[in-house]
Amino acid sequence: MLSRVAESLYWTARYVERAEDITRLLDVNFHTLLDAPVEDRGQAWLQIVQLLGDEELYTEHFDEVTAVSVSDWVLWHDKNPNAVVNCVTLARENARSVREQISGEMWEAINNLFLLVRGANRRAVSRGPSAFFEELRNGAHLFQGTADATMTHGDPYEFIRLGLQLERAAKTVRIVASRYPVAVALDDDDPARVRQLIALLESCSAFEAFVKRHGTLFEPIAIAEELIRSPDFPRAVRSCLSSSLDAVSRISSDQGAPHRILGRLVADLEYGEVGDGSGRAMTQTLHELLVGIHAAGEAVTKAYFSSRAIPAGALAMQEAQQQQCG
Amino acid sequence: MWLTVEHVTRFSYDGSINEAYTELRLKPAHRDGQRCSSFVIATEPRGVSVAEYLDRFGNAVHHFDILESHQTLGVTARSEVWTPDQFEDDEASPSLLDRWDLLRPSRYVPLGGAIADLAAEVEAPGPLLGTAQAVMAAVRDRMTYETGSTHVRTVADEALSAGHGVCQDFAHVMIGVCRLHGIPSRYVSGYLFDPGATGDGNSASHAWVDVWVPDRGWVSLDPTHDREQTARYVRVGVGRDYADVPPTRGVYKGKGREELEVAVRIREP
Repeated sequence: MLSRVAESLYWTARYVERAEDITRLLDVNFHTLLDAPVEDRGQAWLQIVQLLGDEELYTEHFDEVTAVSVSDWVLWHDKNPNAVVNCVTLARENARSVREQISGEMWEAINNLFLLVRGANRRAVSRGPSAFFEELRNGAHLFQGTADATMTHGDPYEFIRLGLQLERAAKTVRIVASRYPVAVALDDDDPARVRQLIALLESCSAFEAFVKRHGTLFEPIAIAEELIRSPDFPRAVRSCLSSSLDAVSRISSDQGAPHRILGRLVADLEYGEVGDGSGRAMTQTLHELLVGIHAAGEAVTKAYFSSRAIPAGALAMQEAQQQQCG
Repeated sequence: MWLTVEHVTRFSYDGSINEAYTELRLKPAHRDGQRCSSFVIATEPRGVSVAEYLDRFGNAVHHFDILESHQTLGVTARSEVWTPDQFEDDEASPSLLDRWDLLRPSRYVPLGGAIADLAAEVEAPGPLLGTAQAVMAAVRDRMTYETGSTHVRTVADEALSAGHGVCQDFAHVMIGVCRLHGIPSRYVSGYLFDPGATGDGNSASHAWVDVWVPDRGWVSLDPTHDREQTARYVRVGVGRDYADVPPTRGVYKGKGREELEVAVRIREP
């Protein structure tokens, strides 16, 4: 397979997953804030911007932090490279360039997702975003599901899986890093604490999975364990990284840098400890994890998409020589 | 007469580029009385396989690609050629459609503006060859030769309005005016040897014009010097205008700034 093709498949999956994660974060925030005091809301929205890692860029374009400005930034803003509309457009562009590798169903799913986002009535969305968020998440799930169900599980599929799992692992880490310290800083009997912990679980689609296993006590340390070290919850960091390692092993049998980095991360999660559960220890652990996942992404890029080092995209014209006799 | 031509083109980039695809129209024609006895291409990086095909106009086109990253791309073309004392048309008569192609405006030769004004001024004394010669004289009259006054993308009416240009512009202007007079005309890319030249002489490519007139067939005229093609002209290729027969053309991927150097040397062996 051409490295260009592998790279497009990988990024298609990453962008779809990214769009889905961002959408869920927004949705959860809207719901959680219905219970929160009005004065806390600005901080909660700022948290979203910080979590997604584009705070500097955001402050260049907006002076205040409100539900409207943050939604606008995260969903639509053309200066935000990670805005949902841009993620979906890039996912579709990448999918289009490898149209012959993916199945017809996948192409339709991603094209529908693109049309949904492009054709959205932005004012209607800002008045009642829930239905739009649900459609968007369904569209992303449909793409991921058709990838699993309609595509041969060969190398191209493994690159899709790798992109999806790495993106998902990074997002879970970011979500925990952003919400966990806020929650544990609150008093045990503060109702906001449970609200924050539930929001944390819901941001990772983990509420039901957690309650089934641990009941409704919402112990912060149990939540962190579940989201980070669970071997079977599909959005837990360990589970995502094991899948990534599996994908990498299927792509190539030699133990290159992606292997080594992912293997070490998985082993740490399997045999290590999350810490004493304090916000500070958690922040440190999560920071190391995020650095590790980032390094894994870089290693994948370097090992499989060497063309990435060269500016991708446009062909330039050679200069032409004028005909002029002496 | 026998002539040798060496045409060196060199692209340098200040960063690495890759996936360069290059097309060359550098091989002297082997028709119309001219004989190309040898033609060799050397590339840099070396070890590139160069393929050849004939294009729509019968020109030999060489092409190659360099996929791995590189910072310079060089092409040296050396040829030995025998030129006839005068242009000897040995081509089949162009079909009606071919002639139609050569009467239409093309990328470098729009048929409005200054070109139309000049066409209205040139009197058509009767036989088309006479008209073509009158056009050639008018172009020579209107425009002064000035190196550096135009660039490779200058189109005919810009050059004519400005009143100066290089042989590429002279040829384009003459083609435009001839087309408006109903004479199918094509652009000729090649070289001109000047035995008396010193210093910078004989160090550039040249361009002139073929016109097609009934009964006579193709006639080759050089508006820059107001004369017919002689033994000192080396023909490489023909086309509707420069865009069809650029000596080199290509694309690449990369962000490096590009610098182009061209060196041409025409000599008697």
